[in-house]
This record gives sequence, C-alpha cells and structure tokens, in this order.
Amino acid sequence: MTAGGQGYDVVVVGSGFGSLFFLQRFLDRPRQRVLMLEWGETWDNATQLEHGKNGAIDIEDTFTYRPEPGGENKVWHYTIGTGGGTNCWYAQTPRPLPSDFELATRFGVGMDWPLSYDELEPYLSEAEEIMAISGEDAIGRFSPRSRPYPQPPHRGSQVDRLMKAAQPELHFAMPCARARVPTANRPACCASNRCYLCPVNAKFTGLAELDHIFSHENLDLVTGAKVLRFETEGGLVKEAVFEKDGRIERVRADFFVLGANSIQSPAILLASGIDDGPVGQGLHETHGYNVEVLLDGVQNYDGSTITTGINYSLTEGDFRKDHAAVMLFFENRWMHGLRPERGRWRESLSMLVLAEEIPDLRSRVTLNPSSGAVEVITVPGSDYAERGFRKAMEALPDVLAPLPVEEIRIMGRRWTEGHVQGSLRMGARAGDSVVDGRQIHHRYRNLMVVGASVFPTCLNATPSLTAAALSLRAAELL
Amino acid sequence: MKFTRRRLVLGATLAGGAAGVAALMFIGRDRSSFLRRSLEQMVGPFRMPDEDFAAFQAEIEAILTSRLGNREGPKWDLTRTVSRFGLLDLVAAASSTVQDKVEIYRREVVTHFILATDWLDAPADGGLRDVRYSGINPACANPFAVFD
Repeated sequence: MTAGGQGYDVVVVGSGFGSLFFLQRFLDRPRQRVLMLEWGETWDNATQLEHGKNGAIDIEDTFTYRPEPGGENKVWHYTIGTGGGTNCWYAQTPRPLPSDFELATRFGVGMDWPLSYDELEPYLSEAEEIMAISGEDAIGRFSPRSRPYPQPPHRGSQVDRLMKAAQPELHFAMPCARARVPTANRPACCASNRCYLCPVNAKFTGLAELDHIFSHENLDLVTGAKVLRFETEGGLVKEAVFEKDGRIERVRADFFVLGANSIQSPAILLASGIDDGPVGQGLHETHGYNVEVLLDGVQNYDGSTITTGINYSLTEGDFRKDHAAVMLFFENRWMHGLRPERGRWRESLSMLVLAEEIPDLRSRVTLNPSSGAVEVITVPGSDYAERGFRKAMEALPDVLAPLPVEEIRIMGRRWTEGHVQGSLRMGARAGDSVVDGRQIHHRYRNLMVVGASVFPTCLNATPSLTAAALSLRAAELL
Repeated sequence: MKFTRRRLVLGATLAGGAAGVAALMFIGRDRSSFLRRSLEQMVGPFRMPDEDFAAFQAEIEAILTSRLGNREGPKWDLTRTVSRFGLLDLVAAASSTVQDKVEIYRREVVTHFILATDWLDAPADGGLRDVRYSGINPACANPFAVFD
C-alpha cells in the first residue's frame, strides 16, 4: 500500500486517545502523508446505539486469559473501532498529581516517570481545551493549572454541596468531558447514567469532536485493517504488515506510531520480535471497590451528570510509602438501586473507592507459543493497593463526617475500570522500560508508542486525559 | 384399618394442615399481588391500568430474573405467602441470605417503578395516585437531576 506510489511518512496503528491526540498536533505539519490503520470499523454514535455496543468486534474475541498459579481471570475492557476508547469511556478527567510522577523518589515505591508534572502541564491544559472539559479551577490546589477549565463545573448533588461546605479544599466537582454546556458539536449532558453509549452524544469522542483529523487531506484512514506485526531492518521499523478482507497487506513508512491499546500494542511488538525490555509486562489499572452509604434525610442524585464529586482526602501524604492513595468518586447515580423505604428512595450515596495500583510485571500480555494468539496473564491486585483500600474504609467515616451517615456498605470489588495501562512502559533506561521519555522505542528510533500503554505507574487519576496530553507532547517533541 | 375417633381427628388435622399449606403455597404463586403489595409498601397506594401494570410486571420480572434467577419453587412461594401476612421482615431478619434477596427484590422493583412510570409527577388524589407506565426514558434516566 502506498500514498500516490510512495510510502507514507507516518503509519499510525489504532485510532483512540493516543493516536488521535498525536495527530491533532502532528497534522499541523505540511506535506506529511499519514496512514491510519484501524482494526475495527467506523460506528458513529447512532450506529453504536442501534447495536447496543461500541464496536462490531467483541473484546472477548481479541485475547484469552491464560490461567497461571496465583493468577486471576480479571476483566479488561476496551473498544476496537474508529475512535477506540473515546467511544466507551465515561469521560472522567481528573488530572494526575505531581507526586504521581515521582513515586519512587518520594515514597520508595513503583518507579518515577521520565517527565514531571510541570513538563506535562501545558499539554494537559491543551487536551482539556480540545475536549472542552468541565471543571472547578480550585482543584488546581492538588494538580496545579496554567489555564481555567474551558467549561463550568457540573452542578453537584446535595451530597456534594454538604461535602463542599465542610471540606472546600478537599471536595470538588468531578472534572469531565461530559459537556456542561453545549459545544459546537455536542449537546449538554442530560444525566443519562449510561455514558458508554451516551444517548445524546454529549461526551467527548473522537468521532464527535475530531472529525477534522479523520477528514484531513493528508490522512488516509483504513478500517478493518488488523495490524499483525512490523518488519524491521537495520535497526528501524520498515513495514507494517496487516490483514484486511482476508488478505495480507504491507505498508512502508519512515515513522510508525503504535497506539492500539495496552493489550494489542504489546502483542504487535511481540509478534514482530521486538521484545526488548519489559514488553507486555506491567499491565494494570486502578484497584477499585463499590461502596454504598446510607444517609438520613438527604435527598441525593440532583446533580447534572453521572459523577459529580471527587474527594482528595486520601490522596496525598507520606502514607504512600506504605499503602496506596485513594480517589473517592461521588456518584450521582443509584448503582445499587434506590432505597426501598417509603419516601427515602434517594437517601443514599454510591461511591467508587479507587486505589492506585503498583504495576506487577507478572501481569502481562504474551503470545501463545503454538497459535500466536494473544493471551493475558493477570495476578491479583497488590497488597499495596488492597491496603490502601482497607485504610480508606477505616478513614471513610471521618471523611464523610459532613453527611448524616446511617451505614457504610462495601458492595464488592470492581472487576474493571475499563482502563488498560502500562504494558509498554516509558522510562529513562532501556533495561526496565520499552520507550523513552519522548515515547520513542529505546532501540527502534522510528517507532513511537502512544496511549496509556506507556504509563510506568498507575496515577491517581483516570488515564485518558494524561494519555491525550502525552501524545500532544510526543508529537511536539518529534 | 380400624377407624378410631383419635385416628379420624389426626387424619383430619393432617389433611387440613396439608390443604392449608397447599392453599398458602397457592397464594404464594400469585406474583402479581405480591408485586403490587410490595410496591404499595414502598411508594404508597396507587392506581394503574391493568395493561400498564402487566407491562410493568413483565419488564421487572425480566430484570429480577437476571438478578435473582427465576424465583420459582416452594421457598419463593413461602416467601410471598409470608409477605402476605406482613411477616417478611421477621423472616428476613433471621437469615442474611433471605435479607439480601429481599433487599435486591425491593430495590429493583422500587427503582424501576419510580423510573419507568410517571409516579413522580402523578397527582395524588387523597393519597392515591393514578399512575401510567411508560418505560424508562433512555435519554435522560435520572428524573432527579437538576441542570440549573
């Protein structure tokens, strides 16, 4: 495959956050011919709603769980289709904390990122601008900001108002890409509580907001193209080999950007024989639990979106030497049903208690030695994360002291956040990382990895905003 | 066999008891009444056209089946029967398993009722509300949300 008889300048694999935000910046360059290869098809919001799912390819068909002693069959979730994870995400966009980038230096756990929060901050702001993030600027107390949020914060619930009044420096409106006010392409969020298939297309998605990328004159998008491997020669990646309509095709380029996802991207590298460093290792996401709080006399759920509050009481401190920091999400939805007592249906609060995970290299993506099929091995969450959750539960009565709490109930483990991170980690040294601080492969210097695959540690934040900002930065530094 | 008075009394008692249990179990199979009673306990008295109630029941039964299984058999019949006499909470208090299932049942029912009918907007006529079933509004499923 060629562009007008020539190879492409750049081939981009995948079309989710990592790839799109790379192109958002890279396509500013003139005369760069770019080919985007997407395994799935283009399903717009209406098509997704019609089918009741985000893409035609079922995730269960894209990898298998390989049982190992001490392992667990954990759920991993992502979207295969144009726009990737921008389709299925719930659009939460809290920023990471500066300390998240220096875990090893500050707390002696995990590893440091090869860049600081300050280096990333301008790109976080730019990504927020592109996605029209709604938020409360005062949250910059934890994650400093150079720009105000583009959209005003969502209306909090009655619970949020009580928490905010008592803890103005710890409790904030959840930053999110669910429009508070309409954008040029999206209506305001209507609190549908089913964000993975937003019935009104109110959240940021690649298809809704970044059509200028897909329709750019320098970009060719090929869907239904499953990249199988890269061919290398003389220390460079030369070709991407992909399958389309049952045929094997090849495309040459000067530069390759790998942004499939944290399961498929390492699988492509392994199939290419590019296994330098911890390729596929360290797959992780936040370690989460559902918690329900029964309240006395508070009529909740009157916020204007699905998740209205985030509380930072348990995120910063020297305790991270011993146990995980924890994000507390205040949901504006009755995840466990309304209460049955007459007139008290709304007197409850659903919370997500999300502990940062320390990636374990034993959780990994691998290929079946016989069939070459993609396999995932997952070990249970770390003691560090579980201890963080237990400590959070001990602290929760104090954190929730502003509320008339009747009972706090642990409603069970959350088996996935729909985040896949960390299997192609970035770092300063080739031995313990796959790409450098500019997201360039340590050995193959014309290969970049984008998306949450490059996260060396978990962050006290949902990953998409950071993945987007990293891509803007990587494109600029290229 | 010799029919003594004692045996006749014993037989009649056993037969009566069996008939009673059978009747109670029969009562327990009436899911519709159980559903309506449960709802009235949770939301207060209401009137709903029969076809609306049937549609509501069909949808909530499907939801409950996915959460609790098909809810058939003597245990569920007995649960519904006990409920008829207002003793369900007593039974539930004695068993955490029953308590959990009853809680799931009640929460699913009340949640679906509040969201899938016009109960929140229905005018109360002396405490009795006339309610129509419309199904959940998939576009904006949170009737409590405020957007000011």
